[in-house]
Amino acid sequence: MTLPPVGDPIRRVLVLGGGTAGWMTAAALSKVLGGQVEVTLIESEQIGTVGVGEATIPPILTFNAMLGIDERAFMRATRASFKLGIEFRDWTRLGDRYIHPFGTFGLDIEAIKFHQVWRKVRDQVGPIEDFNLAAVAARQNRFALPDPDPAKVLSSLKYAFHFDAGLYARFLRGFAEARGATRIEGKVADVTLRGEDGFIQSLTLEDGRTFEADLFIDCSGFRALLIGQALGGRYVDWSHWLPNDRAVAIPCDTGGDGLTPYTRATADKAGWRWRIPLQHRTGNGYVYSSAHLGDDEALAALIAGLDGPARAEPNVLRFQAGRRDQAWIKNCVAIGLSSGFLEPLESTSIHLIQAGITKLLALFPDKSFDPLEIDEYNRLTAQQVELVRDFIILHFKATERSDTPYWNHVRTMQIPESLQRKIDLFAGRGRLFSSDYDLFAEPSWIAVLMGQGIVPRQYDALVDSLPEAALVQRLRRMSALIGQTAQAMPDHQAFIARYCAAEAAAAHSPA
Amino acid sequence: MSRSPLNSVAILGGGVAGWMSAAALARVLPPACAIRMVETADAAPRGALSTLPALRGFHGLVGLDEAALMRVARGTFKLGARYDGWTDPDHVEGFSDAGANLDGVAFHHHWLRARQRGEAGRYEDYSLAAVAGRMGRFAPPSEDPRSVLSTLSYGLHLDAAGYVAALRAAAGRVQARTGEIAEVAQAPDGAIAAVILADGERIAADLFIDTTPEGRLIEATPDAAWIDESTALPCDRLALREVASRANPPPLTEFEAVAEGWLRRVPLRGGDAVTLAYASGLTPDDAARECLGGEATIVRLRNGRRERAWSGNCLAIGPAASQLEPLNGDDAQGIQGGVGRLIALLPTADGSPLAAVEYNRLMAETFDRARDMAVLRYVAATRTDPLWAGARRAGPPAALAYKRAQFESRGRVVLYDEETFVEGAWVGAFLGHGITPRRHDRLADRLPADQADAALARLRGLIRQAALSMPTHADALKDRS
Repeated sequence: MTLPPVGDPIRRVLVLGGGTAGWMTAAALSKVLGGQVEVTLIESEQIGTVGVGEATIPPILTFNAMLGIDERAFMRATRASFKLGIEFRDWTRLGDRYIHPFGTFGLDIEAIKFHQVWRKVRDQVGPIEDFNLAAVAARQNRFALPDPDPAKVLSSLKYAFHFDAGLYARFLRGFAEARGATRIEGKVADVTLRGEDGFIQSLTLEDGRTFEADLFIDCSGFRALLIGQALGGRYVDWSHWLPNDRAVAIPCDTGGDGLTPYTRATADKAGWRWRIPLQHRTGNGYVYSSAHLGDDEALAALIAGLDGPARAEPNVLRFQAGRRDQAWIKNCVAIGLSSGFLEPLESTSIHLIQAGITKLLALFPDKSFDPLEIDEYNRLTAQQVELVRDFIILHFKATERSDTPYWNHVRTMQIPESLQRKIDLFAGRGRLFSSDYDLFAEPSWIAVLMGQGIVPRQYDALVDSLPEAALVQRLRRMSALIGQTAQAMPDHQAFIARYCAAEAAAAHSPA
Repeated sequence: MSRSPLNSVAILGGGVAGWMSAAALARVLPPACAIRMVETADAAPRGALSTLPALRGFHGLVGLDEAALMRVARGTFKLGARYDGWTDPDHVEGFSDAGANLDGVAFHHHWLRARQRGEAGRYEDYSLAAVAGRMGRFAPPSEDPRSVLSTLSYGLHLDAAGYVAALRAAAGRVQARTGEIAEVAQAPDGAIAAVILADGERIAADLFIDTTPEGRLIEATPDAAWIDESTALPCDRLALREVASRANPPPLTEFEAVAEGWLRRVPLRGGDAVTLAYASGLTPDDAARECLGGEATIVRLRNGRRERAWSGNCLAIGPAASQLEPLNGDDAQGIQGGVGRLIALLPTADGSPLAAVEYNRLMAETFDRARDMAVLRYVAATRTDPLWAGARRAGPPAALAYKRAQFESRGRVVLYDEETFVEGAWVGAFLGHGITPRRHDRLADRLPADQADAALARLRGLIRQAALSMPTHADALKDRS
C-alpha cells in the first residue's frame, strides 16, 4: 500500500461568519492551536445572526472547560440562567406535561435497569420523574451546583445553561481576540477557487480586500456561502419527517412562571412554542409548518402566549430540516447552520456546533488534506446528526393528538426504520439498545418515550427475581432521598442573584 | 402482564456454551420456568479457554466464586497475550491501557511523537499489565485510583472441562441428562415442535437453545444460512494437547505464528494447554500431530457465523451460532454476549419476532468486529508461507480496511457500535503488529518536547517499579488456592 506523504502544517484558518458558530470555532481554534495557526474571522455587522438555540445541554460545560472559561463570568456576561431539562406541554395530548431532565432515573438494581423495576411497581411508587433529581428540582424552581462528594445525591445533578446567544458570541469574540484571532469587518463579494483542484483559494470582500487561507470554516449560516454556493455541496432534505419550516421569535419581559431552571416547549396547532428564561428577559418562538399555518396566525399565537410585553420586533426565520451531504468538502468545513438544520426542540443547535469543532480538532488536517480524514469527519457527522434527527422525530410521531391536520399528519407519517424499531422494542418490554454515537443516552430516550406516552406493555421478566415488597421499599427510599435533596436546594432565582447576577456594566466585558 | 411468560427452555448440546447459558438462565428465569439440558457427546468440553476480563463480570452474575472456580478449572491469571513471530519483534497486548492521557490527548500520540526522536521505548512498556506479564508477575488491581495498580485488569485461563463442572454446579436447578438427537420435529410454521432423542424421549419447550457444535437445531429452521469467513481466516482445524508446565508460567497467553498456522500456549495449573490452528488443505492431520510431538486431539473449525442465530423459537449460542479462530484471546466472549442479550431480550412463550431481529443484528455486528481483530493479525503478519500469503491475498473486510486506514493516517481509532475490543486494545494491536500512524495528533505538540519526554520517562519507570514489586505469577496462584 502506498501512502500519501505527510503534508505541511496548516498555518492560516479563515472563519466566515461571526454568529455563535463562528465565534465558538474561532475561540476553540485560538485556544487549542494558538501559536500554531493564525485565525481570522470575517463578519459583517450588516448581516444579522440567527441566535436560536439559546438553550444548551450539559456537554457545553466540557466546551467551556476546554476554553478554561470561568462559569460565573460567562454567566454574568451572557445573562445566563441554569437549565435542568425541558418541560414538554401538550405533546402527547392537550393538558399533558412531562419533563425531559438531565441525568439519570434512579439506580439500577442487581444489574437490572431502573426503568424496568419501576415499570413493575410504578403504581406503588409514583411517577418516574420523582426518581430524577433534576426533574424534581425543576418542578420546584430550585437549583444548586452538584456536590463534588460522589456519596451525595446532589453529586448526580447535571445542568446546562440558557443564555443570550448574541452575548455569548460577543463574549467568545473577546476571548478569541485576546488569544490572537483577528476580526475583519466586511461582506464577501467573491470566492476564488484554485484552478487545479477546486479548493478555495481566497475570499474577496466588497471593499476589494482579498484573504487567502489554507483552511476555510463556513459559519455563514443558512446561506452556506462556501460549502453550498461556492463548492456546490448537496443538501439532504428531511422535511418529510420534520415538516416545520418557519420560526418566528420574539423576546419579552420576564413574567409568568418567572426564572424557571428549565426550557419549556409547548406543542401548538401546527408546531411548537419555546420559552427560554434569561436573567433580563424571556426568549420565545413558534416553530411551525407553513403548509399548515399562516405567518400571521403563528405570530398571533406566539404573542398571545407571551409572559409579558414584547421587547423587540418579531424575527422570522425560514429553513428546511436536513443536513449537508458532506459537511467537509476539500479545504472547507461547514459548522453550524451551513452544515444543516434541526429545529431546536432538544436544544441541539449549539451542541452540534460544538461537536463539529471537537471533530475538527481531532481530525485537524495538514495541507495534503488526506481524504481519509475528510471521510471520517463526514461519516461521524452524518451518524451523529441522524441519531439526533430520530430523537426529534420521536416527539412528533409518538402522540395521541388528532385535533389539527398537522398533528394528524405527523402522528401517521412514516418514520425512519431505525426509529420505528427502537419504539417497538421499547413499547414491548422497555428494551433499549443505544448506539455509541448517540448524543442522547438511555435516560433521555426513556424520558421522552415515556413522556410521549410509550410506557412498555411489559417489564423485563428478570425483575420478578427480586422480592417485590423490598423493591417497593427501596424505590420509596430513593424518591424520598431525591425529594429531600431537592427541598434543600435554594430557589433558582435566588441562587442566580448570589452566584452570577448580570450587572449592566459587567455584561459586555469578556473574561 | 398480557402475554404468557416463558414456561420452559431446553438446551441441547452442553459444553461451555450450553452450561454458560444454563447457569445464567437458572439465575434469572423465574422458578416456574423449567430449564432442561440434554448433553450430546460432540459438545463435550475440550482444551483450554483464554478469556477477557469481561468474563469475570459474567461470573458475578451467575454467582461463581473466583477462587473456587480457579481451583476446579485449574485456573491461572491472564494479564494479556504475547504474539511472537507475527511481526518482528514480538509484542504483548496487555489488559491495561498504555500510558495516560497527557494534556487531554490520548497517550499513543505522545508516544508516537517521542518515538520520532527515539526517546520512547516500546509502546507496551507503558502498559503495566504487559510489563508485569513479561516479567511473569501478577497482582490484583488496586481499588485506589491514585495507584498505578488501579490501571490493571485481568482475565483467566481456564480448563474447559473444569469450567463446565463449575458452571454445572452453579446451574443447580437445571435438569440435565445425556442423549443424542435423533430428530428435530418441526411445526408447520417452521418452529421447532420437539427434539426427539435416540432413546425416544421427546423434548418439548417454549424456547430451544442450540449449543451443539454443528447447529443441529438451528440447521432445521428455515433461515439457517451460514456466512463463511474462511477466505480471510484460513484455519479449519485445531489440534489440542497438554504439555508439562513451566516453573513460573507468565500470566499471558502466548501465540506463535508458524508455517502451518499458529500455536497457542495457555498456562493452566499442572500443565500448559497447547493448540495448533492449521488449514487441513495445506497440513494433513498427521503432520499437525507431529508438530505437537505426535499426539493431539483434532477438532474441526468453521470460521463464520449464522446469518440469523435466532430463528423462531430456536436460538443458537456458541459454535452453532458463530466460530472464530481463537487467536484474540477472547474465548467465550461470543457466548457471554449471546447469553447476555438473550436475557435482555427474553422472549415470551408465544415468541418475540422483534426481539429476534434485534438480537440477530447485535450479534452479527459483534461477531464482525471481533472477526476484524482476528483478520488484522493475518493481514499484518509478515510470514510468507502459503497459508499466510493466501490469507493476505484475501484482503481485509471493508470495515477493517477503513479502521486501519484511519489509524495509519493519524492514529485515530474508529470504534463502531458493538465492539468487543476497546480503543486501547486496538491501539495495542495495531502498534504491536507494526502498523504505525504516519502522523500523530497535532494537539500533542502543545506540550513542550522536554516535558513530554520527562513525563514518558517517569511513567516508564513507575510502571517498571510497580511490576517489579509484584509477586511472581506462581506465588500469586499459591495465594489463591
